[in-house]
Amino acid sequence: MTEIPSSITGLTNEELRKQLIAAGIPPAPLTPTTRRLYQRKLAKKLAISLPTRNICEELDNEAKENLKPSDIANTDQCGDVKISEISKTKNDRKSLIVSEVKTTPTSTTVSTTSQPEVSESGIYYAVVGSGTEGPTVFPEKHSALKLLIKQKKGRLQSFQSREDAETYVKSSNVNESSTDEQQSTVSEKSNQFKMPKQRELNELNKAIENGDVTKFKEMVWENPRYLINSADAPVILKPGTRYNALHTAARSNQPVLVKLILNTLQDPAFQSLMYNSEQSHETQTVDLDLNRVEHIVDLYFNTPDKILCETPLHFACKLGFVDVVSELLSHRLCCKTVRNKAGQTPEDVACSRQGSNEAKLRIKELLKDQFYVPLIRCHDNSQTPVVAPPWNPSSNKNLSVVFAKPDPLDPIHVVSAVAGPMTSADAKKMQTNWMTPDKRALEGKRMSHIRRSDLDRGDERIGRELAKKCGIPWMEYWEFLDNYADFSTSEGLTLLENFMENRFEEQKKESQLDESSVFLSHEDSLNDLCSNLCDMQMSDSQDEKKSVSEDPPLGQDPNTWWNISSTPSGKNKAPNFDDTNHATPQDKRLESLRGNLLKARQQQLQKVSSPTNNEQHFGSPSVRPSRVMSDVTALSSSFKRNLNLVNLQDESFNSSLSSVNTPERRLVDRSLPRPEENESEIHSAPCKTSTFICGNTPSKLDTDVILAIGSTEISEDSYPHVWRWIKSVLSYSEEDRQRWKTTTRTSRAPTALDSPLRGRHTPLKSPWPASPLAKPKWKLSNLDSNFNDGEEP
Amino acid sequence: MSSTSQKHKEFVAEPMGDKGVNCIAGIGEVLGNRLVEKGFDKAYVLLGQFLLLHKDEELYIDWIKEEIKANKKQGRDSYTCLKEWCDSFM
Repeated sequence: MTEIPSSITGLTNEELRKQLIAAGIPPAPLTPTTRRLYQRKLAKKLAISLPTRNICEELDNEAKENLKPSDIANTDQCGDVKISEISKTKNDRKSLIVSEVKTTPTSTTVSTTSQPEVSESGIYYAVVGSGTEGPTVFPEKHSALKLLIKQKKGRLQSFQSREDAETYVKSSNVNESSTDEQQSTVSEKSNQFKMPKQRELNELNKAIENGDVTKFKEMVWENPRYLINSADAPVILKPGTRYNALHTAARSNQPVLVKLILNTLQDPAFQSLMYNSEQSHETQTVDLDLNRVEHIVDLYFNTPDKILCETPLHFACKLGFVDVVSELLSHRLCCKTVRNKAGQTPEDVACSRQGSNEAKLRIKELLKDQFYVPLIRCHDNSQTPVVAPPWNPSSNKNLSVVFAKPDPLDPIHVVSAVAGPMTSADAKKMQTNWMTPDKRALEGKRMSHIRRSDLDRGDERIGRELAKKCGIPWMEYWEFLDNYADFSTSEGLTLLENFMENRFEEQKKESQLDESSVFLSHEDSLNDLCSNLCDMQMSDSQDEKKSVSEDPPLGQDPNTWWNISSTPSGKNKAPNFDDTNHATPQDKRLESLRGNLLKARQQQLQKVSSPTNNEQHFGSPSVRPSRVMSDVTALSSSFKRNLNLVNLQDESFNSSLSSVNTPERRLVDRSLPRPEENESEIHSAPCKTSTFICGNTPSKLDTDVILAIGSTEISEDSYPHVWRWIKSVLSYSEEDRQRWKTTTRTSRAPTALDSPLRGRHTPLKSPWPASPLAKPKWKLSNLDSNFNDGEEP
Repeated sequence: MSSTSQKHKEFVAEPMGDKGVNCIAGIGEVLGNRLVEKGFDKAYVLLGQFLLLHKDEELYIDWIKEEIKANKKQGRDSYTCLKEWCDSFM
């Protein structure tokens, strides 16, 4: 212990504080309890900083100290006095205890005179354990300990009276047996993870407060009990206030962790880690687990804290953390109307603690209902797409309201693109702007040009631009991905990247096969010609459909949704957005929305695809192309008959046919030389890839996707395959790209994608797909005759 | 003390964490600065002093009056604030 020089001890509090600051020790309160410690600290500091300087000075000081050690002496004396007081009280207590002990024996001896053994000290020891026999109450400790050694789960308790000890033994024996039974029933679903200690929980709490993602992941995945306790409820990280992980994350403005916590909780892998004992039963437990997850997530969101009964949403709102609020609100289980102790909803407390007015407005906006604007398109593109009125997931109104009435003749309506979420005012604006873009502000002319020139994707392109302008999330359906995506986001690009990777791999295998084949060029051109012919047919069929929308489309391919005939299903089941199982910070929410849209889509189209239904309803041969496929004449006649059914539109049909006729002819003419064109261009292109989204020839889809990617930067490192593909597409001149044909929805999958591939190794068969879908075959002949019919009058 | 201030409610509502000493009810800017000068820069430091004085109202108010020349009301406000915080969190 270093001596404290009197130059320091003699200082007043003020002076000492100044000295401390001068010596670089952060200022601290100087109270009688802390003063001495800081004096010593200062002395040490000075001794270190001036190690050699004047030992004599110190000696001097020491001497002085000896002369007048007033300060130290005082304090020391104080301490001594206190200590002595304490020891006194301790002694008092001891004597008290002793006296108590001394008094008790008399009473016990009186009451237990019948007992053979009487304790001398007046203390009895009771031993409790499973299967104890004989005496369990002892007056002497050593005999009790002897028995205790024999017991496995024995416990020892001391009593001051024998009666107490005996009643204790009896009652605890009863308790023991009952708890044993309970344990045997409850322990069926045990979990090998142990509940973390409070100290470990504090660590997790700190990780969340600091936004330490890696540490959080590490801890939670090591032991899921950090998030879910044994009662299937959130773990309380702060026992004083009863905060769970979400409370903490919301309080410390960690939107990333809020998202992470929710995602982790809903992660099936996490669930199986937590409840791995239940893997044996399959379907039932899946439902059960989903309920379980939902229950836990619900608790995480809506459990109030202990002090003000506030939820995480309250915290985020009152502290003005906009990001956290939006993160929380994007989950459907998050209740917006909970009240705290003072009866306030999150909206009431918005930014009451801190945060600008701007943040307050944004939070209030977020707390209102969110709206989506969907674009409804027919599956076969036979009617103009419609921008549906804003739709709100929390209103129970189904999207079906916006669909056409269930008429068997009507085509199926599907959601082709969605913009949102946004506020209702924004959604209304979005809807009107989408349908009729403002001429000046939004270049209405250009927009309507886009719409008219691009029948497949025009509306989507307009919506995409609008959404981008307003910074609203956007999703549209891409048939080749069979998914909703936005290619201007990294998420969408990853989807595209995966798709392209697969395509390139296919291409690779294919080219390997090619090398083994001898007459490569000949077959290639033949195949390309064939596929081009198919393509031509496709565009025919599309136009035909447009003019005769009453004629049910004939193909039925279970793989692609457009190929299913428009039908007698009677009901168009609209997407049911409400059955989101799990959920979702902003994009997670989009994710689930997308999942639902896809599901709805499939449901809608599956319903429709049963052939028996078709026949019952129509009874006309035209709906059974699969059976009479080969019979060209029968089909052509049915086609005519069908035409006759449509008396009213006969004329318009004829006229449209004739108008359609000329461009089609041109198409045929042009498509013939194309293969060579493509080949040569591809070979001259800098990177020799001939892999495109649809087969080996570029199509309009490629341009569409490039437009959808827009100005998003794509580097070779992050998206190598997409990058390659874009390069090869862009190696074509603008003019060429404009001329690329639409791969019609009906034809795309079977012909353009499959047949050329298969065509390589089984040449003659596959250009004409052997499926009932082989529309091209009969339509080619069929249409020709029809064209003639149309031209004759 | 029939009603408490907003500041009091806010302080008592949650763990004090790293809050500054002037988040405690009854301690405004002036008193807060004086406390910081004396080394009581955080709320928890003042709480420490409060605990050292055995949570005793009289002692605490006397001390704070002497130390930073607070008035009686300020003393009592900060006392109730710390007391209530301790009641709910300790």
